Amino acid sequence: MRTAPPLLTERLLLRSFTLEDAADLQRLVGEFDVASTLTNMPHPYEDGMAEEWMQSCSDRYENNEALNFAITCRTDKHLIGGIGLRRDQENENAELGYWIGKPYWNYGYATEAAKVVVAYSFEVLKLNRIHAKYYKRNPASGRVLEKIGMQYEGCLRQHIKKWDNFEDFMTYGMLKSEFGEK
Amino acid sequence: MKTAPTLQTERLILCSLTLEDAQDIQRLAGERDVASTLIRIPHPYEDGMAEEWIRSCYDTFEKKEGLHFAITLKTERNFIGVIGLEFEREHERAELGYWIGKPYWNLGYATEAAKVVVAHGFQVLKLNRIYAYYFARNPASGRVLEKIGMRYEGCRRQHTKKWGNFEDSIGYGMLKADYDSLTPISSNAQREPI
Repeated sequence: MRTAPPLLTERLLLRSFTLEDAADLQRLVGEFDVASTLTNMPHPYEDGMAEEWMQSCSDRYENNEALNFAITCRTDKHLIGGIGLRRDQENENAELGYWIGKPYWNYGYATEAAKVVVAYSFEVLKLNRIHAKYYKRNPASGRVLEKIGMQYEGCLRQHIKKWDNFEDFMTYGMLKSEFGEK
Repeated sequence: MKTAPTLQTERLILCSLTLEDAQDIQRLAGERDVASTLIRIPHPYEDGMAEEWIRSCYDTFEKKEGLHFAITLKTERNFIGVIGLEFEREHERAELGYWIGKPYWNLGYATEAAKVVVAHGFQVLKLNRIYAYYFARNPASGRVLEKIGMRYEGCRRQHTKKWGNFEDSIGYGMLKADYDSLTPISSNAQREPI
């Protein structure tokens, strides 16, 4: 099973998910404060869901539809979070999405991981555009996108109904021509 | 087989598509200036494609995933274009899309049709949000959205590759609350579907 190629940063190893990550994944994304920021995340996160999700990631990786990286600590190897790209091949773009387990918030891990995934997208996958969305009530996610050089592209008002509330969806994007400017 | 209910405006009747519309669709949507403004339309528009598309609209309607209306002139019953909603039921929203055949451009038909479809979306279907996208090089479509009370929500730069070019896609949206604030209660009666 493969869900993504390996990528290395100063502090992180981004790699394919494996079935051995299932318990950590379930524990970290099962946390309310993480799940509440994500659109398609089941909550509660039950036994078996992690394995099932990884299998679907593997299928989508095979079909060039998506890449899903486990974000892990380079030194002691533990799982910190996840980051992924959902590809739209016809339009040569991809949507970036990520989450960081709560014990690892505020260390800049999301920015570090997003930066290397975006570089991979433009340099290796040769995409023309990367875009991302986050709930307005979660501005920390917006700061990640700003830091990696994405530009604000608008707010889709009440676009998502999440746990019975309509959420404003903030959108950011970056073009190949902008990559490397910062 | 249906693709939508019937709605009426001053000059138009919006009704279900039928296989008899296939020829008009092929002729009008086959025109380059129409096709170039639409994301998912085959070009050239070959025989059989319109029938296939209409059948897919039957299916969409059946599954409650969307509505597609034939836009026709009230007087002569000419077919002049298509307007539709595609639902995301989980999020209580729909995307609006439309096209008007070139001989019928600049007469305000898209605005008239969009207004009644949006009213149907909020009043009858009880949607919370309706939104639409158009290519930045086609500002006429943006004027339609402005006129029906939608608000600019952003620009997805180079989001769509159309015929070899990356196109900016402009987003507009409207909430039920926006709609309610625009619509006096007393005028609701004439907006009901017939």
